Amino acid sequence: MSEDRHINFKLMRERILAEQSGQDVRTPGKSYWRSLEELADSPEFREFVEREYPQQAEEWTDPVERRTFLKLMGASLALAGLSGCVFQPAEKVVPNVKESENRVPGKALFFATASSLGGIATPLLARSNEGRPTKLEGNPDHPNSRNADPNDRGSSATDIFSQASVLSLYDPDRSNVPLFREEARTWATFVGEIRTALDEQRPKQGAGMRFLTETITSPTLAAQLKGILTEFPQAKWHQYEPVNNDNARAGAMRAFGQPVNTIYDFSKADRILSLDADFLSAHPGTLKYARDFAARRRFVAPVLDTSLPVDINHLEKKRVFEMNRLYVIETTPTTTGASADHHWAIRPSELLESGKSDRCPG
Amino acid sequence: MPQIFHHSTNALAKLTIYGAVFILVAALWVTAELNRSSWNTGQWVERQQPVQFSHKHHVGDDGLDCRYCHTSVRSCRVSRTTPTSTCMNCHKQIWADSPYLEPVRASFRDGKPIEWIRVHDLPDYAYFNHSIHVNKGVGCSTCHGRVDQMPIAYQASTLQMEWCLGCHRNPEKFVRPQKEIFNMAWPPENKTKEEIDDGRKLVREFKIQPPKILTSCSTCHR
Repeated sequence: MSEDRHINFKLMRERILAEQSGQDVRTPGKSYWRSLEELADSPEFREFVEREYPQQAEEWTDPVERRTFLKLMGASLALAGLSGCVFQPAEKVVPNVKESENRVPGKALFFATASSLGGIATPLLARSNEGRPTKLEGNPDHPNSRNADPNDRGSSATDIFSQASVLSLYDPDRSNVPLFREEARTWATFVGEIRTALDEQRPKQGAGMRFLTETITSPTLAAQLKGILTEFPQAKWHQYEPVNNDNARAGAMRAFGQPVNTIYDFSKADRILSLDADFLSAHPGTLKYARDFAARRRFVAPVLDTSLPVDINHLEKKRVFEMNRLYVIETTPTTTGASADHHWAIRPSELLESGKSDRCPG
Repeated sequence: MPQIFHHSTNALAKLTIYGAVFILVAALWVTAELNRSSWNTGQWVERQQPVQFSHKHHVGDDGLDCRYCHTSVRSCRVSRTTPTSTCMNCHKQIWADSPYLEPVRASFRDGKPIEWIRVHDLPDYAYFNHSIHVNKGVGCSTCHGRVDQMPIAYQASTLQMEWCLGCHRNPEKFVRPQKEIFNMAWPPENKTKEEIDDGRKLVREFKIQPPKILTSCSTCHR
């Protein structure tokens, strides 16, 4: 850009001096300028302004004219259309060698499964198209997806983590083979290497060996890990989650004297106080909480009409209970806060005091 | 001044004008015929397969039902080609050493699927669903011809849009009772008045949509 700047310092100085002495008669009243070049108002600057984009201005000296270019492009597009006028190549039909049971091409299969978040499982139905898991939804038949009502048909709701976890089942970017320093190896190589490493550990009883996992509550996986630990008694197993429940567990330790996980039963709660806890959308086990919470938000008037079928009467009577009441003190807007009957937005620094205080914040 | 043109020129001019019309019509006719010919549609063209499989032998002579191999024809879009394991159900025991069946045995041994050549290949812009046709009275032989008489399978119909519309406009001419769907010998088209009357009854019974819906663009071009 430097060659575009046409600062004429001499002119500029004269103009400023003229303005100061009131001799500038170019414009009546107060004059404004956006740059020093404009103030100087040199002939070079005027030319610069007229050309507007001196760098990018296209000089039409190209030997290929615009019209020629358009003609050529039009012809190539028209000819490209002709490439569609060919016979379809012979298509192949490749059936499986051995057909899986229940598999019908074009029809999805559903498998009951679960995904674990922070050690708490969410019951899921995995949809599989041609052997590939494509979608996860909640399993309405699982007790976790039902509320206390015996006539409840169950919910197929899921949370964002379960929805996203379909990629952990089928990720096209994930390696299909074991990698060693980014180079592909066979499974046989992997098993051979790990066996050698384990054999070296055996005399030491696994001293210095560490297993790092996420929170594992699966009985099968836990039993397998315990099996390794009995074989290598000196080895250590660590469970770690970047977003964890450690503080809640420490609180439970102080309250109950032993490390326990707190599972809330919102179907029995009449008054709920949430201290910055987004239990309706961001906690492990949030679906059960949300469903139990919502069930207590439906107020049904007593049905005394005996002409209705008996079971409906029964159902309506069962549903009659007091609505729960939700108090939320939180530091950031959440779904739970939006569902609250009483809501206070406070600074994070004030949260501890609010929890201790017996008065409402603010 | 002598005449520039000879008398015969008149006749020549008339011939040229009429001839031009004739040539134009002939060109259109040739185009239409070429378009419908098996050269363009692939009709009647036998497809050589990796295995010398004879539908005539299996369906005509042995009397296998279509669904023994094409299992999913009533339940889904495609009438699945049979997996190698289905072939081996019988051919483990009969013709177990036949050299013709070596590709099948090799597939079963190595776990590599047989790559059959598709005989009826609709364009990709046309949606077709086997199950709706089979469940609403369109028999196999209506579209696929007498498969029980084909030593090597070929495409029995043109598979052109006018052929599809022939039935979508007049379904009563082609539907048959549900128990005759897999009967190869059933006439592919209802021709007599009684047959067409029966067809009308079947159209009502199967709740086949009226031609207005059957010929709507988005029925097939989705």
